[in-house]
Amino acid sequence: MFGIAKRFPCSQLQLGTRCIFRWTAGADLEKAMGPEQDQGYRRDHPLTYDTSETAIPENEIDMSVPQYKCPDERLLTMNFGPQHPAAHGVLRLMLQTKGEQVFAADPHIGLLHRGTEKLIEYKTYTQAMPYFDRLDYVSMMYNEWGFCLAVERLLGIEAPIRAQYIRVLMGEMTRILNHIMAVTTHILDVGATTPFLWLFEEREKMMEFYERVSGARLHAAYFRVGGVSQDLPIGFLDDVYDWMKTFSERLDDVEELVTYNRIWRSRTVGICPITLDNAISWGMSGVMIRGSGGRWDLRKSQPYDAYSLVDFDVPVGRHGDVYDRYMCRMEEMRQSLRIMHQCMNDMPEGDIKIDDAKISPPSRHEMKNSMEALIHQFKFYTQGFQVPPGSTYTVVEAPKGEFGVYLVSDGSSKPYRCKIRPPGFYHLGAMKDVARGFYIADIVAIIGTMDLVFGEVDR
Amino acid sequence: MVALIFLPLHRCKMMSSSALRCLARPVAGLLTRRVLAPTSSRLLSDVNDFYKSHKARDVIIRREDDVAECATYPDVDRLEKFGQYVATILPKYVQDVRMTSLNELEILIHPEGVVPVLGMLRDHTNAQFKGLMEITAVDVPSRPYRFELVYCLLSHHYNSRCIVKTYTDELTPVDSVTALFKSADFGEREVWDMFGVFFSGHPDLRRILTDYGFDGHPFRKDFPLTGYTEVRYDNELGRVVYEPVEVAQEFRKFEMDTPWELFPNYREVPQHLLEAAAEKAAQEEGADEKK
Amino acid sequence: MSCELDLLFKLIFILLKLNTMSRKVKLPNPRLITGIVGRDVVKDPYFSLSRLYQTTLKELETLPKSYPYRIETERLTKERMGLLEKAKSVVEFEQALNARCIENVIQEAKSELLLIRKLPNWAPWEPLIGEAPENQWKWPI
Repeated sequence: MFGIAKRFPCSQLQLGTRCIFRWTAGADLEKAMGPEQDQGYRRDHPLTYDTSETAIPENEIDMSVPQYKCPDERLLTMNFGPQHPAAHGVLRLMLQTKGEQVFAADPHIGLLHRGTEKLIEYKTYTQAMPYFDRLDYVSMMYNEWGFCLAVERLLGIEAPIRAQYIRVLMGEMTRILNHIMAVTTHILDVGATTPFLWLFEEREKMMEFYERVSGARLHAAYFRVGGVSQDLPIGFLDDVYDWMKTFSERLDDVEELVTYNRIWRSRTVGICPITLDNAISWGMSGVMIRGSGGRWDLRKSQPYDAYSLVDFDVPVGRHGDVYDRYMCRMEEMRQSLRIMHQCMNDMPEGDIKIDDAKISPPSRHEMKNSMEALIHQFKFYTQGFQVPPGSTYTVVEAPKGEFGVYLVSDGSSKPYRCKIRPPGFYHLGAMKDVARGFYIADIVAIIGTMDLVFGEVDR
Repeated sequence: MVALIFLPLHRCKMMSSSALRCLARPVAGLLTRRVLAPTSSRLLSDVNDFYKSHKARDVIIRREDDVAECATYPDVDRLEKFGQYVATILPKYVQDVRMTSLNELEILIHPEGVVPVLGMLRDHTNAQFKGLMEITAVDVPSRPYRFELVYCLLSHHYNSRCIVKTYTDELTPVDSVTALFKSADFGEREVWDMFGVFFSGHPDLRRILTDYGFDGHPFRKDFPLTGYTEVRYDNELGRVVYEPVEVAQEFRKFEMDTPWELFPNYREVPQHLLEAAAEKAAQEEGADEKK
Repeated sequence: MSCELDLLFKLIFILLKLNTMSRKVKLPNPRLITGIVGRDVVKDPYFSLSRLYQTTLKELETLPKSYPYRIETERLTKERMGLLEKAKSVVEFEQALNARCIENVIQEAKSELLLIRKLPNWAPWEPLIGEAPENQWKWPI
């Protein structure tokens, strides 16, 4: 049901060999696959990939599937999604397959396109901030963080130190939220249902923390330009600590089921190995690069907020396949716990919003007692604060990769142009390159490893 | 009970003064004990002895010092010098190099130079901007070349970013950089779809985010926010139909801009003031020379 | 019978070893893997790098003499060649260049070479082909 193909392992599962599936139906596949199928990656069928003859004239063709040259004309064009339990949202993936093996993959996206960037151009900066919650809807606060950092950069301000620590704490909690979703739904697509149920209970607990802190379980709208909107409630850190104490045991439970599981390893080891050069060329970032051996983490190389004040390690993979990226994500969750623990210990007292009256709204008490505060309140919530003209490209290390915001301001209270650089968009762009030669069941694993959430891919 | 938060001394320099003042104040409520470290154990199942004997295909965890040096990001002087260098090695295409007040390097080029400039930035050993992180366009309808194309590059090796900007209008095609950066595939498709900028040489330039059969380029400034057509399900026809958009109320665009001039430093200085400042500077120089 | 075979194999092995020793590798690469997916360990990096740098210097002759790129690249290449000659080990060379692995340096040299080959077509040393229209880069409008 979840894409487990019938197969017989051909030999002992050692590190070097792979478990090859032989679909016993039809002599065509035997001819196509060839006899030397025992070792190595399964991309050794000499399929040609000649794009010189893609006949897309200047006036574009809609619903076109690029026609690639193929020596054997028997290609089946099939539709994967947009309604598919394993498609991680609305993804219409047109596959051209030879039997079960994918010859070409063409993602059709835009089914969740909501025109976010255009809508943002008509809103003030504070009004535009909740749009970012809804982009990557499994890592909400991180997207908000990207936008808030971009605006703060244009304004030339920095959030107070307590706000920075709170942001890091909630950001790492968001990272755990995202990785739980990514990893467990990936495992679910591959075939195991239990980790999904186990870790989603943890997600529920974390959403309770979200609600305690911001008022909403999912779309928190907690971060503000200049800090965060409210201080942490009393007793919040104690409860986070209680949760945190046992969370790594939950991860251990899942790892016990999955990490050395022969089915999981046969489904993920050797699938979709991406070379580092290829990954960088395709604009990949985050775990996709780290899984291929690239030592790159924006929290370390271009730190923002309090990341330079906390100690953490960054897991780096060795083989660039799906299994390594899964391991990276599991380890990143543990490192996030470590960061959260340090934030909780080191959390200083202080403001949680920048003191500037032109940028942060006054408190209710102040507003009701002071005329200037009332005026500031009025101007803030109607007109919004004005941002000096300029443009910036600000990035954060979102759980999925490099989430960037290219913000152009013309001096008014509304952004002139706000372009969102979603990591999943560029990961999906590589699909047509990295998916060739694998089976349809592996496509499911590849979609899972790219960590696609269509809220951000389509915006 | 009085408790203090212990902050490591070497980090004090990063703290704002308000936080340092807090060290002296008694803290009640939030943290009255140091939290203990959570255990991070990795259980190997006893059942799979077979796997235990093999070298673990585990992930290598790198210590902090192994990962790229982050202490000096962004290295503004180095970036500035690099910008000047770029201007000297690509005089044919580079119209201007700017270092913004936010310490970002912007290279403004002629549209015909997209492939040479980006190729040089990617392949040159001093640059190595191998990651094309984003391709965007900004629509400024009042300009003759209304679209400002923006390419955001990242150099992992030197831990630097730069932005390459060029310009075009609705009809002039720009060379595609898909041969240099594969991420331009989807990036340029999006710019085509949203703005209508044609990229010549792109292997597969078609719409990516809009609906099949959508007419127009939505992110242009003259395209209305509500669009031109809307969809609904028609029971008689049994399918989704496209109809001209009908909004129940007019679009509420409040004119919130202040009548006061904002950010005067960003506006052009009037000519007579510039001349007066130049005269004053010349007078001061004359006075210095006399001394 | 088997001990004679063993002696025969030993003899062949020794002969081969002698053979390999005469082709002494200048900088033996100590690594088994680079750690980067898709980048294989190069067994004789000195050979590859020195050839690449020599070809680079030769191809740079096709560019105009006063072109800053040519001057800078010549300086860079000669500096690296010097480091390569002086380095007693691969690790030392990598540390001098602050590179992660020598294969990365080889890739850099290859990219540079491919770039130099493209430059005569582009001729970027020529003067500016066109100024931007007035107020094109003015912001805010």
